[in-house]
Amino acid sequence: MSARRKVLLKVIILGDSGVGKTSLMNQYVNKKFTSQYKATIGADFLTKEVMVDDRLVTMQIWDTAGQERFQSLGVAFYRGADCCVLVYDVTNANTFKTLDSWRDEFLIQASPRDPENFPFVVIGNKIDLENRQVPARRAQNWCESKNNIPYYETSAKEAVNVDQAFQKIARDALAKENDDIYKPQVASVPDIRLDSNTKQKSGKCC
Amino acid sequence: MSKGQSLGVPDDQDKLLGEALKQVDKSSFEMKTCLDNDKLMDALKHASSMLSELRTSLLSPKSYYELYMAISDQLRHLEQFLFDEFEKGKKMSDLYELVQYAGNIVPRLYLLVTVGTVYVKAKEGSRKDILRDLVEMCRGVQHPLRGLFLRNYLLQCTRNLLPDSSNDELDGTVHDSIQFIQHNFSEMNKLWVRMQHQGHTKEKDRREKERLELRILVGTNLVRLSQLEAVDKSLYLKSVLPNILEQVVKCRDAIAQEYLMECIIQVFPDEFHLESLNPYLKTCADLQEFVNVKGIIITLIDRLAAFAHRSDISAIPEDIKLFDIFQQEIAIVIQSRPNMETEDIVALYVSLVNLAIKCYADQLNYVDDALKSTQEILTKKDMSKVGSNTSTGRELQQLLKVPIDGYDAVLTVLKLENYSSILKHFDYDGRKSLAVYLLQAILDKNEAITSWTQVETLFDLISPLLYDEADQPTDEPDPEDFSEEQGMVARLIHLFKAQAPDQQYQIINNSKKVFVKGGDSRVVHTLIPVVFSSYRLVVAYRSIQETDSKWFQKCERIFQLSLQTISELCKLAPEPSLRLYLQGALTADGVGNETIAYEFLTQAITLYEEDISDSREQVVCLTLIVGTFESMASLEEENHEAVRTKCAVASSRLLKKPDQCRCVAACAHLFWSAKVSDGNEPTECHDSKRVMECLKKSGRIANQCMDSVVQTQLLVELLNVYILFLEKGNNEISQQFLNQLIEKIKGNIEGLDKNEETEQVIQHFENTLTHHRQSKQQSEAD
Repeated sequence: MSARRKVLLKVIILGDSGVGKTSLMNQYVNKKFTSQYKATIGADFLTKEVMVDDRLVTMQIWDTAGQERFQSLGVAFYRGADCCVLVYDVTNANTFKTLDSWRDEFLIQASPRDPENFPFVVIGNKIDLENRQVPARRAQNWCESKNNIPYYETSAKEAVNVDQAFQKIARDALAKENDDIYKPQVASVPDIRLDSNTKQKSGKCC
Repeated sequence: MSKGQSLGVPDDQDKLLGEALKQVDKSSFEMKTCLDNDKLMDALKHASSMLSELRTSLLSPKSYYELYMAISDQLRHLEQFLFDEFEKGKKMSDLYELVQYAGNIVPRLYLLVTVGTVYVKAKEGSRKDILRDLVEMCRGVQHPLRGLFLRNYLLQCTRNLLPDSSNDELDGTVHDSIQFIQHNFSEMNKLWVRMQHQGHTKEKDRREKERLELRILVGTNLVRLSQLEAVDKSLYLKSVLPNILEQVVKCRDAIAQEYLMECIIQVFPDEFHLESLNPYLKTCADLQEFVNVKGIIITLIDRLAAFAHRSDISAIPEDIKLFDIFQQEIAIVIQSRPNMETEDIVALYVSLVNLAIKCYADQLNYVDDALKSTQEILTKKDMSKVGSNTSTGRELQQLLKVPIDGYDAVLTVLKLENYSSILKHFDYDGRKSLAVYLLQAILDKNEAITSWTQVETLFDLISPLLYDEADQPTDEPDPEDFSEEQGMVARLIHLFKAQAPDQQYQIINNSKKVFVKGGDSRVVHTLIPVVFSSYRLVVAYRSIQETDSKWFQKCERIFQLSLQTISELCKLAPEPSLRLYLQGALTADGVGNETIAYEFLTQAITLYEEDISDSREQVVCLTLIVGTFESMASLEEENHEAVRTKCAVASSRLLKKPDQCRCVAACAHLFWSAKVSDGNEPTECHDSKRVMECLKKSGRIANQCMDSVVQTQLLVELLNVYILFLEKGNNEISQQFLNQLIEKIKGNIEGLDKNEETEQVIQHFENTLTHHRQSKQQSEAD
């Protein structure tokens, strides 16, 4: 067993501007909600430690700008993600329609090893509002058509289902991380010379 | 979203970045191996060599960002290890000293920040002191790109560590955090601005592009300030905003100013903006000449308008006169920038109008003021015949579309006094496309137009659709577009709905005069609904006959005008005119005006005789005349007789035998169920003999048909008519006579070839017999 017992998981939250990405993250990490709207520019993360079964996991949750013009340096932070969360606003049908392009964009830019099985989670946010436009059934159908993406409906404002969604995110990210361990982590570096004191051979373990 | 590639020399960049990433992979692997074996000193050495990759000057901002991301991902492992060490009892202050011995400044400072982060978390020393130390130490890197990323790393690592309360003097308060961020912001902004002045002048474009890419790093400082929860409105106004604005003005750099001003709007909440409009807008006027102030102000206005719309009006405190503030500010900005493009000026007013409608929907004078100011500027600049596809034209279109889209009732637009004066600055196409847009909006919302004044104002706005205009293109318009536009005008007429009939009369009569000026190609579309609304008006007058003693005369006047209107249409559209006459006859019949009803009917017949020459059309029209006439009730015997006979004669004069046969049979009804008035009560004719004459004649004509299938079909139809009249009690028709007809048909059928067509005829015949049998049994049972 290695000294680094904790696992680091990288999670990226994507979706159109105004769907509540920042609010979801703040509700999950800080248990706080504000109705004041501040646009996110660039990308920023918060970390949170959680227990998944009996494992202590550190989640690094990346909140991103919904507006492309605020990502002037590109999206290098997609790389190395363990799970991608796609968020839309159930009261705004357009934000649902764009999920496809967010997903495609992520797969292109992050270029994960196994795009078919890369873990996504879809969140329909703002279910506390009355003027719902996207029926749950429609969202579920979309998720089923994309290799059965797990689907959650949340209210960041009233803290409905947020923990459950992130618990699922953590679990799927961890499963992916465990999978990756069996693949060579540093395949591009053939001349690994281990310290004479080192007995372990695996490049990365937990 | 943009690809993660730099411009310049992409291949070269990819190669350089690839090599650097390979080194990062290697060093980070060794670092983690050492960490796994608790060899911290060795791990730090490898971390340092990994960080050395960030010393490069060869990478473009985007490539450097990728490298930075890969490295900072790896540094998390180090950070986590250090935290574990602290939990095991290791003193962070020692480590904080230790990493300062790393050889090179870039790796040293990254390590220092990483350790410093854990040092703060460990709560070994005063938080504010460590933070101050870190931000001071970062001064050591003065290379713009490296410095910007190092300070970004500092911002990222300290995100959740900044003191955010107002009462812990020792460990730090929100004021220390503000100071920390503002210090970092000012340093980053300096580095960023300095990039502009490094290197060769011919690379200016590339440099500007790279600076724009890097802006996000500088903006992150403002994000941090906005994330401090203890920063409330008053703290924002007192300590945060003034300092940012001072930096913005002082740097005298257009790129920085434009970006940071927008960034302020984006990252701070609307509630704060509302309280700080004056200092913010004052700064706008002080910006460098090339700054796109228009864009900044529009962003702010649109955001506040959306905010007010979202929350509801009470979100804007009453003492903040949003509209006045922006209106003044826009005037100042325009005045202080004589070289501002007209399109930019108009765009500012578009936003102002948007704000007025979203926040002060009932204050029409606000919108009017904005339109007036725009109009004055257009006049001063002598702008006329503005093309709708020029950039100014597009903004002007937008200016006029915002009220159409923004008001709950589109017709509110008609109350804006300066609306049409803006329209006059467009060229023909511009005016026309706006007319279509406005009309479509009214039709979509189905809004009733209730006074002539409204109609007149509207006509003024949509005049390109109503008449030929002096500046219209000489070539013919596309016929499809043209008839679509005229169709819209026609639909508009149905929305004229005055409360009182007298007002409705005024609207119809006046608008007819306008439509007539539209020329032949337009009146065929527009006059038809005018006549129909006139008839509706007659019905309305009848319903108020108790209260309006002159209703009958008024109706008579409407009929006269309608007759006149239709006569103008006759030559252009004979068939629709005939229908209008018949509809008029029915309407007059409905109000018991025999003279007028007869007039309409004879006009229809005259039109039939003179202008309907196509044989197919003749059948359709004659059938319409017979049907209309049959259902009328006001004609007295003399007039009735004349029309009956006319119809019967016209029927027998049709060109084709089958048409004759059918129409003559139809005329039989005119002698039976048609109603004749004696001045009081209408009674049905019930002239059995004349009915019989018609039917016999119809039979003779059928027998003259050479095609045996057609002949049989006609005889079956005639048999139906006979049965109908028999059932209605016409005693001239005997069962014996019917039997003869039935035998004749049976004989015919035997001679027919069997095919689909004859099958249908036979089926029709059998159905008729079945019906006849059943109704005979029924009447015998009764």
